[in-house]
Amino acid sequence: MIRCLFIQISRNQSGQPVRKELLVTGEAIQIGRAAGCKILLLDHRVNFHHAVIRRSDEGKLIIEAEEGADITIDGSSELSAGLSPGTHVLVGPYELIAETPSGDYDLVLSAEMVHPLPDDHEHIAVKQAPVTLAGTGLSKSRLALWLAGAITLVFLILPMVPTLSPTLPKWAANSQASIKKSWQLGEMSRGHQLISAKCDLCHQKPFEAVPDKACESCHKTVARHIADKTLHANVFKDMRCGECHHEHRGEVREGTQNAQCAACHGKIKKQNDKTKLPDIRDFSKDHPAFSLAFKTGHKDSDVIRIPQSERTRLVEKSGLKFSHKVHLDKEGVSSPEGDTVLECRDCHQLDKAGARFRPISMEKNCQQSGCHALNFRPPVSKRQIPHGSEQKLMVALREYYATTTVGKVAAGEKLPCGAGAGAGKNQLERALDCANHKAYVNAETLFKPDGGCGECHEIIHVADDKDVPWKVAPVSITSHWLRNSRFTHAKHSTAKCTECHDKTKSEKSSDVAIPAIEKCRECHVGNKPVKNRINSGCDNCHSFHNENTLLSAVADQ
Amino acid sequence: MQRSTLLKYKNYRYFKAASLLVIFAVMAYLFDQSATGAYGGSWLGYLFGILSASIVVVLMLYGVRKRLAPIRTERRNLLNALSPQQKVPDSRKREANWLRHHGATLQGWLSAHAYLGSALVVLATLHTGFQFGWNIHSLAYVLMMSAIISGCYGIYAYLRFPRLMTANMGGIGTFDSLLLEIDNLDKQASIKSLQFSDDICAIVLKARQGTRIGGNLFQQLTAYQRNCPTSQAVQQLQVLGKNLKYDQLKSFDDLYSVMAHKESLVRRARLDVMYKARLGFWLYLHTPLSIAFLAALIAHIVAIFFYW
Repeated sequence: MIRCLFIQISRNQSGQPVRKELLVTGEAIQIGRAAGCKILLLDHRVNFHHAVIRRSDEGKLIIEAEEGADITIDGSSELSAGLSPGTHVLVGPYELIAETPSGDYDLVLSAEMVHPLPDDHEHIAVKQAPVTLAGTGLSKSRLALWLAGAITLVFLILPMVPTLSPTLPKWAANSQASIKKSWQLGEMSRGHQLISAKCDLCHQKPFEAVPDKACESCHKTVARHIADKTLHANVFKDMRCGECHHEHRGEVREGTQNAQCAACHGKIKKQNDKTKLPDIRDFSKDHPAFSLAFKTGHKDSDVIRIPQSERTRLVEKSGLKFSHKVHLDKEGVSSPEGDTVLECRDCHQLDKAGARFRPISMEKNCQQSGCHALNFRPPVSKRQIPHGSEQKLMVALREYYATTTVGKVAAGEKLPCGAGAGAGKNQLERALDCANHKAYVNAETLFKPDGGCGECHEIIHVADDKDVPWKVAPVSITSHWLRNSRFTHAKHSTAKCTECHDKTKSEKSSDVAIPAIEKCRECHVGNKPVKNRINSGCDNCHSFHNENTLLSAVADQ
Repeated sequence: MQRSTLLKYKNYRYFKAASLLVIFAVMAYLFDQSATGAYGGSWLGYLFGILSASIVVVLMLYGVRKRLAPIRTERRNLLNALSPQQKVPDSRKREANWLRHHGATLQGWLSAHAYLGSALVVLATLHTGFQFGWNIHSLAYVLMMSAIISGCYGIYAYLRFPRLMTANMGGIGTFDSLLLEIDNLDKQASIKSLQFSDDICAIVLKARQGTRIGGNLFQQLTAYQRNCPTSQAVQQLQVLGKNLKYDQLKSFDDLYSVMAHKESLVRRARLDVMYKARLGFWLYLHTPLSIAFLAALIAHIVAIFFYW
């Protein structure tokens, strides 16, 4: 039998202990939450049957934990322990203290709730986690400052540093290309990719547009758009190269170029009422008929341009007589090797650039095959009459006949000029006179308007010159008909020559066979793309920096 | 109510203004025959750029105005309290009247902020001429678009969540009173559980101590607690209740109904946190993105003119 005084201690509002005593007796004293327990501790942290106090075999009082329950004796977790005075036992949230027994009690045991559940609103269990975004540690301003700071440093300050401070440490100078790359608007134009890391070559001063002198330091021979300096200055004023040449936009599209031209040329009459240039916006819509450049002299600038619309004026004065019809006969043209069928390219060979054709020459194109060999008839020697100079021709003839007549004199033969000629002169003088006479007579035959030289050339009679009174009209073959444009024959090699230049029926060299604009428009369209046609901007054929040809354009109109 | 103040403000005043601006810009872009083609450096490109930058200033001023609003209200209240009888000059009255009728209210600013911000999508895109790259200029564009997208979500959130929050909290009052109610149910459940076995008691105790409303960002946004002790307790009580003696059933039913009620309140509390989080979270993106965009915009403008 155990007689136990159980003292339950609670606290009043001022925190003072209030003791409530209870006599508990029994062989064993159960402690727990169950109704049958002698020491009832009402808290759900206390087990239904938490512990029991009984006597040990030696008669000492001990406390034992029930199965599954946990008790702490003087700070350490135990299954059982003796209950000597001063022992502290923790049962759930209650602290049980064995006090010194007095009177007839075997045990005096006090119990106090030492770990109460929080009961105020600040300690509501469910409120222990953050219920607001701010409570999770997120911060708008912190993130904003970090992002803005990083962007300002990397994309604003660092790219500026190399320019503002030339005495930078090496690492910054070396890395400037990659730092500054973040400022580049787009891909560098192909021509400037080599200097893309050297921003300062062009952008010479911060916050100042690229000056023309920066461009001109490399591009030294760029032609003006208009040859007339005053007019050029009036039209373009202080316009910079960079206003048209956008070097940070990759390869500028054709459409852009077109728009740049059309900005002025689309309404050029409105801008300058004195101009003779037509308004042009689009190749397929309002481009006028081509003007052909006819040579008027030997100089490159000796040119007159005549629109193709004025057909009666389209006559080439080359000084030659040439029939394409004869030479391009399908049956062939007679040659020392028999009838030979000629093709255009037998005479017209592309130049190195593949744009136009090499000049035609007598030696290379007419005599090479032996067709137009200038032999004596009947052939008296292998010598040929020289081509290209009337004077040389006369000298050659005189030489030939002098040799013949002097030979005859030496051999005691008669001169071929008759006995009466050269009366009063010695034999040698008579021989030379005879030779000159023979040469003149033969030359007269050669320089006939429709035979000899006159077969291909126009012959002019020069009355003043008694020595050589004939002159072959100067040969002037036009090799560049569309002076203001760029045309590459090599790029059009898929077409037959005769598709554009039909010369098979041309009998005269004055015939002009340059295709009209309509022929080009069969394949090329202007700004607006059309299926199966080639979208062609102004700069497909024309060049902006091309003052010389445009000068003639202005002058001839 | 939200819709009427934000979107319909002054009979769609800013919607009309923004639409006109967008239509005008698109037409100008389509019919532009600029010699330089479409890009930020053409005269039309500069115009779009200047317009866009001006709109950005207005958008940023909303942020300033919003933060000044409580100060202005406070100052007005203070002035009224200090000198209720003080005679206000006519000019001041007229100014106040003008401000009242010409969109100087915070709702007006917000409406303008929303519509002009949306117009910026078109204006700034046309400003780019659809040319993008790996550079500060495109970064500014991306940041701007991100800020605008987050802002669009914000409008959606403002229109949707307040109504859901009101419906969710119907009949309870404030969030704090809901928590008090939950705490009260916890205490009731604790007392009611004492008479039952240790299993039941432990479940109820765990439900009281382990249940959390809110939590980290993910938990707040999803209204979710993994293995929520309260939900588990309700499920386990259903099983454990089957083994009880007849005389315990009445008390157990009481305990069960308290726990079930608690579970529903916990769900509502979590929903309330979720709605608030979803209503507020976009601002944690919108504000930093806007400030970052402002920095990128300044870098963009400086870069353009530094290397002109």
